Amino acid sequence: MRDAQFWALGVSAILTQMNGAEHDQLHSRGNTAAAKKDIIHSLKVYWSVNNREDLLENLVWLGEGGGHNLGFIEWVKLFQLKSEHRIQAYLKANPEKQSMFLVANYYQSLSSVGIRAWDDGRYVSLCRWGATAGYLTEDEAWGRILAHARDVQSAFTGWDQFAISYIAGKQYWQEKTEVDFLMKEMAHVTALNTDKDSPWVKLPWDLDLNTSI
Amino acid sequence: MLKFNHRKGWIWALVMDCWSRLGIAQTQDKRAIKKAYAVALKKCHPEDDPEGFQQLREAYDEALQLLSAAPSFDVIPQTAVQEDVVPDSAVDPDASLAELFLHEMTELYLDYPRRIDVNEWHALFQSEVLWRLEVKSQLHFQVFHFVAHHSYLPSDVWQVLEAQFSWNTNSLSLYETFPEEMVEFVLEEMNLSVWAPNYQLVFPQPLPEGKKYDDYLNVRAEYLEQMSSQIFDEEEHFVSELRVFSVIDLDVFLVQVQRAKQNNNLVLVNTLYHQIVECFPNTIDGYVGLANLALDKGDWSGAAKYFQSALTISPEHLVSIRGAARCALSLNNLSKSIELLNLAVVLCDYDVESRLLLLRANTDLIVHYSGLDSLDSAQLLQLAQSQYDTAQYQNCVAGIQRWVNSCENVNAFYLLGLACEKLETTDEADQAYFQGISLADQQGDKALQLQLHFARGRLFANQEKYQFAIEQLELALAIDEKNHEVLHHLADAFRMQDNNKRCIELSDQAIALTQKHWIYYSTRGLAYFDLGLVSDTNYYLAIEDFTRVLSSEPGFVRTWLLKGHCEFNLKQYEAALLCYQEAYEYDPEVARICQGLVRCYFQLNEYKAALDAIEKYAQCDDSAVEMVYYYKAELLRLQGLHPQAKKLYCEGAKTVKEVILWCGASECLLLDDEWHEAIYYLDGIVRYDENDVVSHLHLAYAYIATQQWSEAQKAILAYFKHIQPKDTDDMAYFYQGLLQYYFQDYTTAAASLNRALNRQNLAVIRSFLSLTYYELGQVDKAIQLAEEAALLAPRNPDFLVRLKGMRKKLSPGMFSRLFSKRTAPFSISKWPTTEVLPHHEFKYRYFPELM
Repeated sequence: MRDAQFWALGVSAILTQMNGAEHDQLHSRGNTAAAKKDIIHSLKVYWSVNNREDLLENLVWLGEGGGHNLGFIEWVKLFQLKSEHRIQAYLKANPEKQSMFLVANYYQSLSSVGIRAWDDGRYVSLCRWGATAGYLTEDEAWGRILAHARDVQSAFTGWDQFAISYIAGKQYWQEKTEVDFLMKEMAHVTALNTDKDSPWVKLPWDLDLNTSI
Repeated sequence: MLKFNHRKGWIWALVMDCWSRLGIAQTQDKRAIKKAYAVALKKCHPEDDPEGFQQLREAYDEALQLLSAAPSFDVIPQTAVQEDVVPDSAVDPDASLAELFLHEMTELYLDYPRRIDVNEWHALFQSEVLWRLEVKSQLHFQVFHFVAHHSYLPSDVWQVLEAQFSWNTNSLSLYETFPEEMVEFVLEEMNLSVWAPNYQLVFPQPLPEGKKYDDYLNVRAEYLEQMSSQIFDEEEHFVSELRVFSVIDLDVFLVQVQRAKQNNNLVLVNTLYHQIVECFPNTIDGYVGLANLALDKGDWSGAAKYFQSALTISPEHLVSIRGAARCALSLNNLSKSIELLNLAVVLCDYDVESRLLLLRANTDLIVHYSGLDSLDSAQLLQLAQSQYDTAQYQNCVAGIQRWVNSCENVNAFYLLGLACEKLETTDEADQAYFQGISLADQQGDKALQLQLHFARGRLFANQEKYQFAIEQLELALAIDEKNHEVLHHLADAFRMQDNNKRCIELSDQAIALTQKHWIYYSTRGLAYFDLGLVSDTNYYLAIEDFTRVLSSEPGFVRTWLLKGHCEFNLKQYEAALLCYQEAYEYDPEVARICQGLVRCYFQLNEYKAALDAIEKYAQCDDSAVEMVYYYKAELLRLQGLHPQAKKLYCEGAKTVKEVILWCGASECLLLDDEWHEAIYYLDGIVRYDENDVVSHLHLAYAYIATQQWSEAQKAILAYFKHIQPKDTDDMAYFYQGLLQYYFQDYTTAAASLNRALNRQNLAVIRSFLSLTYYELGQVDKAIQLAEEAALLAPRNPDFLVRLKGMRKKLSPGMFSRLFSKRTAPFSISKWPTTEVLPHHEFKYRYFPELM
């Protein structure tokens, strides 16, 4: 596997780590009949993906469609127009609105990227699963993954910002402000930052994704 | 004097002159009358001085009546409410009071500094006029109408209005009275007011010529609306309009900052933030903005300075703490950075950014300390903490173990315990916690005592040493009885000890403290589930808790499964089916889910779906061949296809040799009177499980049917040995009596058969009881019972033969002597049984455990 490919798979690394799957293979759970069956089922249950068309539809939504980030960015724009005092007053008056607490927490540091990493990570994962399920050819999957990885590289400053955006996105999507939830995600990120075989450790963030071998 | 009372009509009354009572000279000025009334009202409250109030009220009414037909004072022309809700003040004094109130409210609104002062509104709404329900009822609509046209109000003022009139809860009457758009507008303004722009504005005094406060607010509202909608066509126009007013307005500043950022005009952004700092020195927005600008430029010192200024104003502002920590990290002030980040984590435990920065800071700190020759004790602990936080558990343990015994630091033992747990060296972890607790006890540090007992309790629980876990967790709870985490872990430990009631009590306490953690509901739900056999209510409560868990974690297959079991046990099969289907959606490879589906389809008589579910089950668990045979055979039995069921059972019983199939096969064989083959399987079952009372009973019957009396006797004895008296099958007494009869123990047989007869009025029991009495020489009794048997079952030839025989009144004594060596009684030899004996009911008696 080329470095650029390994780097590109790193975009889906948090989800891969969570699933205990392989970071250095396109087919994260192997390319066996059992893995294929398992992935087809997961795609059906969790993504309502039953065929290639469904998969492409989801990829469009996560990619150019803006995914979950679209709604988050709308809130960021609104929060940017409010004073901190007003935001705190709003949160105080609406303690049940967990998603607003999350927006308030991240709208400044994620003002440029929002929670797009949450969409990016799943985009690359979907491409990988799509290849294993047979909904995409391997070449198609790699084409999409590499193009998306280049976009990710230009949008973020590094894996740290990417990880913040990813986890903030997952928190926002699930409206989770529990520490236990965060710590589970942090365990994956810590592993990706400390494991010498992790794509985040092995390769520099600014690897040339066009020419690297 | 004749007076008009609006409730009683014209009445005679002695009253003071109304003008004297109001304290004013006679006037045609309605406003003066109202003001006078309002002033006088303050001196005679309706509750304190009802009589005085009554007189004042009458004076006020009279004064209004005496007014000439001059046009009434229009409080504020543009607020004229719809005609159908405008009370006629000429005839209704309440309407006049309402108008007076509206007048005061208008004055308050028009005076901007007073308008934005919530205390002024509180004072207004303390007016006595609101004590009158009629007035308040009118104002409910009139004030609503007013604010529909005068909505530039701060959030806290809206709250006062809502507290007074409860428009949100009474919106129906508003929709009936006003246009829908108006109601929606006001309710939205009110409910979103906390998001509304700031009203703490600095207006120039005097206002520009011909301009009013609301002119500015109108322009601002439109400007902010367009900017937030990303409509910039008229931006310049609005900006110049706003400039006319020269108002210092934070919201406008913030919008202009965002516009400058969009235009990449960082110089302007910088200028605007400085202006914000200058104009609003007590708000943090300017400082935080400047800090972020400095961060973007890599000016860590500059950013740190601004973040510090923000923190001076708002010490717990997370963004500033995090920003300051980032600066300290970049400036290599690692300890400061870690200190700030630890604070950030305490303030917002779900903040991923602080955690990641902490990871980075800890990594840097480890590198930094590794380069130093010696470290003091605080640095050693910090190093160990950093190693722990970066998952370097081996290094952490090795480091601490080198110095922990030479210092008296409870935190070090705690950290050592945690790291040992990560390395799964649980004995060392326990030792570390134990030492830490001893030290914390000596130092009297309650917080650390709690922390260590809690950690040790969790450690024991993880090792399934629940009694020890309970001891430790109870010690922790004794220190802080409101620690919901301790309560939860203690609850779970009690549950694991099968003390579900205590588990529920403790879970209730934890949930009362916080409703945030689904796991608390899960633990309690499991406890209720385990208590489901005690009462159905517990299943309902378990369902409630599982529903709460699933609303948070919809992919929890086990919870769907348990909820399904609850519904199933409550005989709510359709609801159970939905749960199992949901669980199946998430994980089709769990055999127990498929079993749940099979059982539901059985109960709902959906045979085809049941067969599909059986196939799914077979795919999930290819080792469960016996269960697949069992389900398929039972499905055939349910459909009344007995021969096919028997064939399948027997095939399964021979192939798999599992008890469950032997049970099914033997029952099918018994029903077809295939005694010998049935006995083969039943014998195997009771050898496998001597407590299987049903098989003992089956066996007794099969042996009776094949006239193997001794074997039958053994089987029935085994049955009565293992069966609980309350569960005894009615027919068992008959078999018992019958066998006693055959073994010529007539007195006992009579007792058993009488007991059987008390439970079931069967002809066969009467007939055998008749034979027994016959053997006992009680011929009359015997004949009576024989007659009753023949009457009950007139088509049974055996009973008629016996009756006829007995009527010949043969002496039983002679025969008993003659046949004293016979192995069977005389009567049954003389009048044998030719019909098949009835047997006990063969019920479904085996359903695999749900769990």
